[in-house]
Amino acid sequence: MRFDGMDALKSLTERQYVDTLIVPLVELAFDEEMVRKAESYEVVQAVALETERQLSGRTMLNPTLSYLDVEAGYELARAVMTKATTAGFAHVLFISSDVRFKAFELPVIFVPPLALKGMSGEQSHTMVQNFATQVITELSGRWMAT
Amino acid sequence: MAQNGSKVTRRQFLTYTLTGVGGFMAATLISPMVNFAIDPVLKKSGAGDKVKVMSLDDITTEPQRVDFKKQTQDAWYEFEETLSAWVFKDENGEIIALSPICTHLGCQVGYGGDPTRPSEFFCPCHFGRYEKDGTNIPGTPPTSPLARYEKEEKDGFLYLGSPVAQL
Repeated sequence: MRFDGMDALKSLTERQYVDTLIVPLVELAFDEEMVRKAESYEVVQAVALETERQLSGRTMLNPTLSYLDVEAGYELARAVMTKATTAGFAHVLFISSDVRFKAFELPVIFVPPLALKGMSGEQSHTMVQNFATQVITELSGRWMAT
Repeated sequence: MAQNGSKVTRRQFLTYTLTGVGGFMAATLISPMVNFAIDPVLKKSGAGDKVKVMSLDDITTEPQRVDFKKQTQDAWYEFEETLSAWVFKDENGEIIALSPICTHLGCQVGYGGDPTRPSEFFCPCHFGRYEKDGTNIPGTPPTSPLARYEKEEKDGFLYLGSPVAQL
C-alpha cells in the first residue's frame, strides 16, 4: 500500500494483514555529489515501488527518509522503526544503497547505486525487477518464519 | 364551434401549444437519461486498447510471467501503468492469461512460488493458493479465482486488454 489517505485508512483497519513497512533510505547532497546521490535515489525508489506493487496486500511503502550524514540517518531510521513497531508493524525493512549502514544494527537490503539512465528501458526494467525480487525473497523468508 | 374564417379554436390552439412545450420539456428530461442508460454501448470498444505482449510461438503449457505497460487514465491524470500476466496454454491448447493480483488483498502471486507445490499459484503475503487455471483453493485466504485478461490473437502475437474478474 502507498502512503496516501485511502491506503492508510485501509492499512489501519487491516493491520493484522498489513504488518510490514518498507522504508527507502537515501542520502542527500547538494554539491558535485548530488548527481550520484540522485542516481542512487532513483534505483532505491524504483526498487521500493516495484516491491510495493508486487506485495501491496501486506506492505506499506513509507515515504522516503533522507539524511545528510549517516549517523543522523541511522538515528532517524531507528526512531521510525521503533514507532512503527509500537504501532503494530511486525516487520520493518529499509532499502538503501549506502553500505555504511552495515556498521549499524538495522534491517537493510542494499541495492547497488547504479545509474538507470545509462541503460535501455529493457535493461533497467530487468535490473529493478531483480533487486525487487531480492527484497521480496527476503520478506517472504521472514513471513514464512513467523 | 369555430368562428368564421378561423380554423383553429382558442381551446385547440392552447392544447397544441401546451403539448408542444410539454413535449420539449419531457425531451429535455428524458434524453440525458437515455444517454446515461446506453452510455456503455456508445463507449469505444476495448479492442483498440489491447497491448501487444508476446509472440504466440513463445507460449507453452508452463505459465510464464510477462510485464507490459498500458496507458491508463485516472480522472484527469493519465499515466503509464505496469501490468503483469501469467500466460500459458491449457490442455485444450487454449491460451489463458491470468492476472497475478491476489483476490485477497492484492499482492502478486507467483507460479510455483511455494516449492512444495510446483504447479500452483502462490501468494507470498498471506499464503493464498490457486490451481494452475486460477481457481482459488478453499481453506486459503482468497475467496475468488484470479482474474483473466481479455485477449486477442493477431498476426502471430498475443494482445491483452483489461483483467476480467471470474466468479
